[in-house]
Amino acid sequence: MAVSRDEAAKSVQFLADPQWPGVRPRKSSGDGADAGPTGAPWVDSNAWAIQLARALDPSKPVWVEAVPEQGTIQNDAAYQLAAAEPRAFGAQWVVSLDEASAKKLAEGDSGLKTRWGRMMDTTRFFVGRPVAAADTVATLAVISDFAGDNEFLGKEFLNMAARRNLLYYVAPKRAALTLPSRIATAVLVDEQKPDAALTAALEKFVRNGGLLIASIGSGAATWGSAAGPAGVPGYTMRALGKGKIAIPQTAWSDPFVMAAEVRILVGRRTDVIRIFNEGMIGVAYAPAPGGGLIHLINYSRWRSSEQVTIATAETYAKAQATSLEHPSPQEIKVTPRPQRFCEIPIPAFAVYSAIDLHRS
Amino acid sequence: MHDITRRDWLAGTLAAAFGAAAPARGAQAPTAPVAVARCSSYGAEVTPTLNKMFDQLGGLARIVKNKTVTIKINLTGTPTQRLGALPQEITYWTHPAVIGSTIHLMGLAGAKRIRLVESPWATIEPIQEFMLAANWEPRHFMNAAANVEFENTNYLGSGKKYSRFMVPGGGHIFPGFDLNHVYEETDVMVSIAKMKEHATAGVTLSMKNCFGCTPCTIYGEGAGIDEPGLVPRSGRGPFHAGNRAPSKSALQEKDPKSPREGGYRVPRVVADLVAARPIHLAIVEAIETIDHGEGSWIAGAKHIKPGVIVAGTNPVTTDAVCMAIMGFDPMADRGTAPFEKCDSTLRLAEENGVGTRDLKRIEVAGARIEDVKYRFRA
Repeated sequence: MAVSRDEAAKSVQFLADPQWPGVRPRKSSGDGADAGPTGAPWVDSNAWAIQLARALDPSKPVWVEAVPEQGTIQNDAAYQLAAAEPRAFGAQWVVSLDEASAKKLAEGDSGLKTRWGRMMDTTRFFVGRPVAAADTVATLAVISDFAGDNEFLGKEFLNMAARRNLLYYVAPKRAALTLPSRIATAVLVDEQKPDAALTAALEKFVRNGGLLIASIGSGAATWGSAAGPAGVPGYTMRALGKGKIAIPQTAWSDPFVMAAEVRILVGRRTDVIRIFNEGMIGVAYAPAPGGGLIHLINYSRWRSSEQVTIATAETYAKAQATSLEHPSPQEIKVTPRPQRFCEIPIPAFAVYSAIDLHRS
Repeated sequence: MHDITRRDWLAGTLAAAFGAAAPARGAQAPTAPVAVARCSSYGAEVTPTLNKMFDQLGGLARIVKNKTVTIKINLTGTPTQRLGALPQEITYWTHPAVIGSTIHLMGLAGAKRIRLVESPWATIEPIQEFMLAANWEPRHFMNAAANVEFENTNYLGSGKKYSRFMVPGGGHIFPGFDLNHVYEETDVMVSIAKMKEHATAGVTLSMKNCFGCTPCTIYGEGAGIDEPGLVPRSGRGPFHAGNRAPSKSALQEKDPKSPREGGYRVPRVVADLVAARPIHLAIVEAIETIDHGEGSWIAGAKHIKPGVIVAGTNPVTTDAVCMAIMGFDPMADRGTAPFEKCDSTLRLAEENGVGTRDLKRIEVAGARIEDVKYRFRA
């Protein structure tokens, strides 16, 4: 059955400005400057945008129309990544080939037929498998309206925070009125004062022991009482009830710096997952019946030469891995550590692996 | 030496380590005893082993009682890097059991305040957070003795200004260094290192561990130009390559035309650092470690179990004994293993008058070197 894009758009949302996922050695900002302070590899990812789209409109599934840049040469793994990334973060890839490949396929090119077959294998792999739930085990909430003057910082903070392995719950302001109970820290990005309802909700969150990291324009600097230095240069701390509020002394402008500061302010005690030798791996971690489900996306598209290990704050009794290379579940040894976390070595994978975690 | 008692001799060498004796150079560099012990695991045997070693050095109380102690540990790299699936502490970080036992014994010996310091990679994150990220529990250290504190010395930290340390004799590359304030607020400086080879400096032991005392806000790739940066942005590449000057607020290189080669520069920077900020107690552990280099990023690095701890009150004598245990000649220099492509930090530190590397002048207590030798290049 053929459905036009316009017809589909009535029941799904197409991700705005989708990226062809993967790693670039560097990304120039046009004036020759590197996007990162050290010129580190740049990951093009749709993960944060998918999470945001799902949060802004939970009623419509998200479709990702990612196609490679014209003139670039892509291998099979690149197409596997394009298919796997949306599934890991709860969306669907609109199967697309670059123009040259599509033309060759139409002409019956045998190499392209093989690639097409592998792409179909990848999409079949995900049929019937659980995708990322809207829920997440994250303990950090990012609150913004992600629009207007707040759009750039709100979105780019999500992008940069993911690179620091900060898992987050995306909270458009209405969702922030009832944050999930596991949230320990909330970042209020917008430089405007929240309305009365959100102010009351955030004050209650802090009084109950939460940490609020609030913009200077939010007015939170008048809440509670001064509580000394925040541990990060350029921030002050206030106390309110059982919780605290950290406020920058100048308005946030650079999302890279903001993410680095938030990473330190949040601290590691509330980590729900740590990943060792992570390379270019992105993580989605959702609760599941009897345990949890972790999706790992390897943006490098190469099997890591180093052993990747995940450590979860919650202790699990059993773990099973599946990947595009090994679709049948493999049992993995779970090693409890004295410091609460349990460690799980991940079998090597090139693009995608799912880890099913069981409490018993 | 045969005319004096062991207690007199220990007292004399301790005085030398604390700078009470006049600086001596080369062949006259001071000596001090080194304790060596077998220790096959990071279990309950670590504390009694260290306790016995400290007794062999004249007792810990005479070093730390009523003193502020600063302990430089080695947490090189990032907390999420590992050699395979192995935790950092059994490969290339100093192990928490050795750190914790040392803190505990220092507390029992009457230390007034104990600060754990390190300059973790490109971050102002507190040391405790860095440890947590590696699945360590910093509370264990805080519970090991009274008044245990942490300081990230890769930037200004909790201080208001940097402290300046001049190199006696003028230094090889820099006449002095600007460091975090805790290094000045120190009565007793301790280096707890992992016994390892090093890609640039041949070996990394108690002296090379102190390379990480330097703040990258001044000496790193992303340091401020005129004044120190607020945060460290990268590593200590400029010490290796001399590709940029430190912040102008710090003392500059004596000779900008000197070789821009890591094998020349890093050993000199280290030798100068330990002359400027003397080490009073050096502990090097190799219960488990790696060979071929200093971290997981070194090709061919392999987990090994030498099962040995070395400690001394002079970092040069301690490192010399470590080298001998590793199967190297501590008198070796450029061109000879492990210094194939670099100068010997031990020789340079000896020339700075810090201590002797001549095993004939070093008394070894406890296990014999030959009995614990573990050849790193076997």
